[in-house]
Order: sequence, then C-alpha cells, then structure tokens
Amino acid sequence: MPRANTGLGITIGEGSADKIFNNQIHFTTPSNNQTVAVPNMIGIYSNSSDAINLVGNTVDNGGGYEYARTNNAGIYLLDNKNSLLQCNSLNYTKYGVFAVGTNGSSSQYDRTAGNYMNNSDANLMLWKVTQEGTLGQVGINSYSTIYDANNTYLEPHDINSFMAPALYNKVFRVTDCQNPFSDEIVTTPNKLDQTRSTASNTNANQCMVNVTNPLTFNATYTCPTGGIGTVDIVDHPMDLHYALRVANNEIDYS
Amino acid sequence: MQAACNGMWDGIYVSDPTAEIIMDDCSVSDAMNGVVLANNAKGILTSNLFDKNYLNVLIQLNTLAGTCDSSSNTFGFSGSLLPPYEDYKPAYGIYILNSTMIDIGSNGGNFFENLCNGISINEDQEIVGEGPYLHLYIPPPSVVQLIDNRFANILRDPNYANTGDAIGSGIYVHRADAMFGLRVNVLNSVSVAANTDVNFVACEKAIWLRNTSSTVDKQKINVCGVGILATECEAKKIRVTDNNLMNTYWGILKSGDEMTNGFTAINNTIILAEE
Repeated sequence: MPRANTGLGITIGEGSADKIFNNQIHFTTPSNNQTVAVPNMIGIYSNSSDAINLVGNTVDNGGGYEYARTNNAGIYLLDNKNSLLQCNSLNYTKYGVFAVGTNGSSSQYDRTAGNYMNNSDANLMLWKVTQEGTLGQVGINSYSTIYDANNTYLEPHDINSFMAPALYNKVFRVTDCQNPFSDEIVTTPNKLDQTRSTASNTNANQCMVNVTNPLTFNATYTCPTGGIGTVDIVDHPMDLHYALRVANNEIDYS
Repeated sequence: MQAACNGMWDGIYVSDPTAEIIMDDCSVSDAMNGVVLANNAKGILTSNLFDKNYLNVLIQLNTLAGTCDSSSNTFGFSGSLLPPYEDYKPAYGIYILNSTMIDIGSNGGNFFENLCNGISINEDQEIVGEGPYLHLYIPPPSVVQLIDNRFANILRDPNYANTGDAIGSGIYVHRADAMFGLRVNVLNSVSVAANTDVNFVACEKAIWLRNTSSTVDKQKINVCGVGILATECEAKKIRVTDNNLMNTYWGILKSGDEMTNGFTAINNTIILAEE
C-alpha cells in the first residue's frame, strides 16, 4: 500500500474484472508539498488485479482554482495484468497515471485508450520500485494495422515554482534498467512525440518508452458517446463451478 | 421505561411466533437488551427513543417477511450506562442475527448516534433448541434492506472490552458460514442531490461488508475513516452506485478475495481533502 497517504478515492485489491465506471473524484485544499516521491493522494488505486476495467472516470481538482500539484496520482496501478484503461480524464494531478509493475497488456494494444491527461506534472509515470512499471503496448504500428490508441497528453498551462518542469507533458520512466524496453506508444505527434518520452537514469536513452508517429492510421480509438454500456469491457466468463452455486442459491448473481 | 435503581434492567422479550409488540413514540432507557424480537415474533417499532441501552434492539431468528418494522426511531447515548456497563457506551443500535426479509427504515429512516455500532447484521450456523431437541440451524439465503437510515459518531469506545475490528461501523454485515448467501442493500429513497441529510458522518467505518452481496446506493458519507469497505467477498456481487463521499480517508475500498466480475463502482462522487 502506498505510504503517507492522505486519502484514496477508490481502492481495489486483487480484483478480477471489477468495473470502475464514471466516478468523479476531486482533490481539494492542496498544499505545496512536493517533497515525497510516492503519491500521497490517489484517485483510483488498484493492486494486483486481473483485467480491472477503469472506464470514464474523472480525477481532478473539482473545477476549482488552479494549484500546485501535490504528490498525488489520478490512477495508480500496481501490478494489474490485462487492465483496461479507457476514456478516463485526469486533470490537475501530479501524475495522471502512475504505474508500477506489469499493467495493461503487451499483446493487446487497445487496452489503454482514449484517456485525457492534462495539467499534470507528468501525464504517465512508469515507476521503478522493486519492479519496472509498464502499461504494455499502447497502439500499434505493424504491417497490417496502424492503430492510434488516441490518448491525449497535454502540457500544464499554469506552470509554477512548485511543479517539476522536467516532467511536463511527459511519459516518464524512473528506472535503473540495463536493457531497452519494447514498450511503444503509437499516436500522432500533436499528442505525443519521442521528445516527450524520457527516462531518469544513466541508461535513459535506452529505457524510455518508444514513441512512433506514423503518417496515417488504419484506425483511431474514439470514446463511445453512448455511455459505458457501449464500452467493450473485459469480463471473465462464469464457469460451471460458479453457475452451479448460483443455481443452488448458494451465491448471489443479482 | 427506564431503570428504577442503579442497575440495568434486562429488556422486553417477544419471542413466540404468535406474539406481537407495537411500540409507538415510547422511550426505552437503561436496558441491557432493549427490545428482543425472536422466532418470528412480530414487532412494529416506530418513532421511539432508545437511549443509554447496552443493546437496543435484537432481531433473532426472524425469517418471515413483515415481522419486523423499525422506522423513525432514534438510538442514542445521552449520558452514561448503568452497572454492569457503567464504563461502556452502547454496543449496538440494532443487532440482526440469523434473520431474513428484514426491512429497517422502510417507513422512515432511523437515526443512530454515539454508539459503538449502528446496525450489525450477522449470519452464522448455530445450535438451537433445548434438551434432546438441540440441532444445528443453518440460516437460509438472507436478504436485509436498510433504507434512509442515518449514522453519526459511530466510533469504538476506548473503554470497550471488545476491541474487534467490527467495532465502529455504521453498518456491519458478516456471513460467517459459507453455506448460503447474504444480501444487504443500503438504499436511499431519494437521490443524493435531493437528500438534505447526511447518512454517515464521523464514523470510523460507514459500511463494512464481509462475505456478503450488496447494493450501496445514493448514500452521503462525510468525514469517516472508511466509507464503503468490502472484504472477504469471494463469489459475491457488490454494486456501489451514485454515492457521495466527502473528506473520507478511504472512500471505497474493496480488499482481497476473488470476486469474478463481482465488484462494480459507478457514478460515485468522491471529494478528497488534503490534511
């Protein structure tokens, strides 16, 4: 569990295809303390879940005044394999998405899509604690498919002395990696280019997330306008074991 | 009704299926067990004041619909308890044990203030009967509805002998045996916007769900340690929808255990304030 927290909106531990949809989480009465590296206020925190669905959530300052971001994170993912992260809006956080361990998917390039990350010190922070942080493949640039996952990474517009300029509008990896990562973000240059994807250590040049900007795309993800009911979420099928228990009224399936 | 001497009296027991008690606008004080409704005895408790009782209302082994109606009552603690509990504060507002089809607040929400626990719902197999007729009772699949209730200052008492984790919950729900399911729905009859009351304020834990299915809908939760807590809910279904949580350290927390497709949080609004 993150240390020194002063509040967590939604916390999921060891979930399995849980659905966290359309929640509004607002940080208020901020201080200027940015001295602690680990976020101490978190909108949505998920730990060791499999295929958690985070869709359409908003984490921001509630439309209030502009402020120096504290050590907070909009969405904090710790080792959530196959997570689905779509159409979330993260505004006025120090870190929009903070990922530790293996999250997302390296084989499915459309799991992290349509997220709007704005006014954060760093839009996407991939963190090294005891394990490398990754969100897997975001979009794809292959012979057959060129797919823009259409995440938006915007630079803060109210920069002040309490913020960390080195992080602005960055996909930033804190790492001591010895070998290059294969993680890649494929999108248009107005959303992200290679200059805005960096890493912190002496091996930074080979440890950053690769960004590619193809000239054209076969497909671009768009968030559904029909609400979350139209999102293709990740479910686990109900197996026979559970079906029998439901039929016997031993567990609830309402 | 209150004690006539410096000691608690036991309580009012209604424990036969043919028995019925109707209490309207009454006051019950200084009791160890307040009102006990058991074995499908019928009780209608409306607009009463329960004050300075150790346990206020106990509903036990009631499994028929419509046997218990508790609405618009106030459960409080205005002074000190009498011996033998003079060092404690009231343990429970309403304690429900191995019962089903119970509605609390359906004809007007109840108010629980300054207790160790507001409403505690527990299901577990137990030995019942007497003499040669002792037998194992396994509670059937159970459903309890809690509607429009309010809770304030539900905190553990540092003097309270039982320091279990359950202490300090506005609503605590636990199915201990794994035989059948328990569903507890915590509801409001009006939307958050239309609700002028706060359902939970200054509670150590507003709602704790253990090994149970539940819908928690349209609750307003302010300044609590934990808002909605779900633990040990393997194979259960929990929906947390349209709630408003403000200045609560842990807003919605689902911890551990396999809930395949089982936990959903939709349209909740959470305000986090930095200390």
